[in-house]
Amino acid sequence: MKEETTPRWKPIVAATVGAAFVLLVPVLPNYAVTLATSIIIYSIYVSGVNLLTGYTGLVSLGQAMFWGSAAYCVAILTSRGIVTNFYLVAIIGLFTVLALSAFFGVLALRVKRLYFMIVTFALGHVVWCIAMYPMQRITLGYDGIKDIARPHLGLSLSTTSNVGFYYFVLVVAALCFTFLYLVFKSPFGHAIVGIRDNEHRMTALGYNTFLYKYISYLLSAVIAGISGMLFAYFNGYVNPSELHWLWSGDALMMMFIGGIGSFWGPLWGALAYTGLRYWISSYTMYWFGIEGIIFILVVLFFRGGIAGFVMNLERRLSGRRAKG
Amino acid sequence: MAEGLKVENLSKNFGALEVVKNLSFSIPSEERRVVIIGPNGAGKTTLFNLISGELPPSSGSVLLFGYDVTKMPCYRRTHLGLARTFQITDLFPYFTLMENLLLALQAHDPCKYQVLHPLTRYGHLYEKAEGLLREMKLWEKKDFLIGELSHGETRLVEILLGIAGSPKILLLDEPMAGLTCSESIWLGGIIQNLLKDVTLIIIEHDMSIAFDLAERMIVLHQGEIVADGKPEDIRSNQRCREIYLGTCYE
Amino acid sequence: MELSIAITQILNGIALGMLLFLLAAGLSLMFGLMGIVNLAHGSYFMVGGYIGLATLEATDSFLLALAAGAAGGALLGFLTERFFMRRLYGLHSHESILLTFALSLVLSDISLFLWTGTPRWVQTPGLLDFSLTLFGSSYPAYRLAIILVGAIVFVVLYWFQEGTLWGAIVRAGVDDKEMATGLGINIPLVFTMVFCLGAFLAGFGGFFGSPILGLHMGLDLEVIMLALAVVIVGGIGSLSGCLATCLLLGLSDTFGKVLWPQYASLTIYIVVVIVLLVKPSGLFGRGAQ
Repeated sequence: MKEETTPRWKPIVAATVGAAFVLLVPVLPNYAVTLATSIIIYSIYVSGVNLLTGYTGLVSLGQAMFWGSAAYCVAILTSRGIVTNFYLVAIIGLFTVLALSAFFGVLALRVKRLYFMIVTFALGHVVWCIAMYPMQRITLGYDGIKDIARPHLGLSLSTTSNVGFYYFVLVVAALCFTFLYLVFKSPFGHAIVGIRDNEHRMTALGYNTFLYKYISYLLSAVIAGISGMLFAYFNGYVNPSELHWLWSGDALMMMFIGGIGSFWGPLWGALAYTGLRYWISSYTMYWFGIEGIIFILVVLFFRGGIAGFVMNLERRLSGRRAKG
Repeated sequence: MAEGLKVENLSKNFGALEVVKNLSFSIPSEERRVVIIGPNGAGKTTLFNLISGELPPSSGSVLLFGYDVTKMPCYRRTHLGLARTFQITDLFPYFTLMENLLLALQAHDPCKYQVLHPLTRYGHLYEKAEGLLREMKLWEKKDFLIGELSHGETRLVEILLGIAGSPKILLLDEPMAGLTCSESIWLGGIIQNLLKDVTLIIIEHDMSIAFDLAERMIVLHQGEIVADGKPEDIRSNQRCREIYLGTCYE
Repeated sequence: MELSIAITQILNGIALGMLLFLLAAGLSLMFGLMGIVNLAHGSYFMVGGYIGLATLEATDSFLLALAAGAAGGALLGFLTERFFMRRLYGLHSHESILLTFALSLVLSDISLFLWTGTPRWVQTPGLLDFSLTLFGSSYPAYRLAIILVGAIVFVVLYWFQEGTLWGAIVRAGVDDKEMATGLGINIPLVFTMVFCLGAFLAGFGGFFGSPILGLHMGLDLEVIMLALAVVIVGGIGSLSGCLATCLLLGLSDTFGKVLWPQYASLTIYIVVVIVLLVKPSGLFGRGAQ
């Protein structure tokens, strides 16, 4: 039987964590604020990947191209003063990502599963190559673009300070996660999970599964684009590694570590990845190898990721309570 | 006679293997229970796949309610009023029974592309689901995962998903597959009594069930129609007996 | 381009293609037999090269180093198959890609730790350290040796595949795993052997190719991307198709680097996209996955 009861302590923990995110952070030292900001930006990126992979079942090795393209939009427009209005930059960035995903989505979704993964990988690599060489005069190739100024929001919040920018990112993240929450609860959200689990039956039931996958691909790209733009402003510097397939792979790893197909998985994953990377990198330079080991352990032994682990813990604790 | 399903010169080859050879038949909408029988390899399931759109034919055409659907994808044929079930149960194993049914009902509702409003807002889907589940006496198990149901119940859920969209034609591919004798009788009763407004086209292996259910029978052998008519006529058909080597129901 | 330069580049391209073949043959077989894309294959190549280098420095014997590199590769392949891939059979193929990718990261960092990031060059062995005059220009004998060895490996593999019982078993397994198991063939053993053979060739290729490719960090990623392109563009199930595609890609990469260096990788991968969308089973592939 499926359990429906939510334990009483859950909303309390959620409220505490939420309050911590909002109130505690300004009190922390600078490096902690920037760390927290990057964690939240990554979690947005991974939540987009989670929508596509965890919920719709499409494994893409090309999501970095949307993060990176949007980041480059911000970089190119802002660093050279071509467009100074932040909202206009954001619209251009989102439009770019939408156009890219609309075109690539039609191509990539012609093939399934493993081939879809390889096509998205290849498309992403092609975009990286283009940014590196043919478009070198605009993207400055390997060197990357720097001097990206923080956005003027036109509100009383100033984003030039670390704390100010953190709150800006927090608000954007809240909007994104709320949107995703609505999507997952909606008929569309139920349908994409159905497609993930049994696309064949969904077609027989009368669903245009291509359209659902396509919309999911577009939404996921837009979310990746939003996080990419935030990153460009955050980092002040953008280079081709933001488009590289290694970054697409990292997103998948974060998603798996956090818990594929779970709502808060992306946040867990971003937290684990960023925190571990920060901590381990201070001791050794072999971060990639260790990241690899962690990922292998998760896929082989902790298949539900951190979120799954937490759920199991919950179940065991409430089971014990029921007995006692 | 209103147009129902019409198949014209339908053929399907896999390389050199001809599975369906130049089939032509017509099933008007008024007909209720047509049973397709034939030995293994006769092409029955392939025929269903051609009708439902899962396989493109090598030649020939399929017409539904007067429309040529030969080039139409699966999901659009469903919206014309065709539905099917599968010989090997093909449900959503990690969803509950209720969720399975809601998915099937949602497919025919304009809300299916809704991104912002929760599914729970659409009470009419839940009401329809409840109605269907109560009719099939499965309401108590609505929150069971599919994996927790008995095999007979899952075969029933297969049919439920098929009728959820109120189809005019329902293809049942060996609905009794894997059921015990008593379960088959039970399911047969449900099929006979509850599905009165739908044209049922049934693939069946078991002769006694086939003759029991059928108002019309089509016998397939090696991709061709060997006999097509009333059950009594099939029973006494010499060719049919030859094919089954005497195992035809006496 | 002058004729002599063109010929040099052609021979270079063919040599590169042969080295690619050593890598791609194993990758292609693994993909065909097990549906697994083993991204760690490039690591076997690189680590095999490094192991060979270490052996060369210890023993001064090029042949011994070759053997060590190949054996090292085979060992890595065996360990990978035994401890990782076994758990994945029957699960999603994308997880095998991600897992082997993670493995390649681990192997890459281990190499970094053991051999540091400084690029290393292996001296051409004295025996082959001369040049032949071909078509009016001199050409290093070592590269010709690579081409020769590659051709020999192809012939041996082809004979093995078409002319021996083992080869028939492997082909049967690629065609229809279940049926082969039903016939009493020990498929897990076949898998392990194929894995080891592929990794053996990769390790061998890593050291054998080191006089011209060098050994450096990132080599594993560079070669796996080319090998992956070969498997996709060439398709699986045809050994000669694999060789043909390797030579094709070897030539494109070589000429690409000379004529329009910045676009070499780009053009190869645009071809990959086109092939995937138009004929997913590859140019020479037999049947889609």
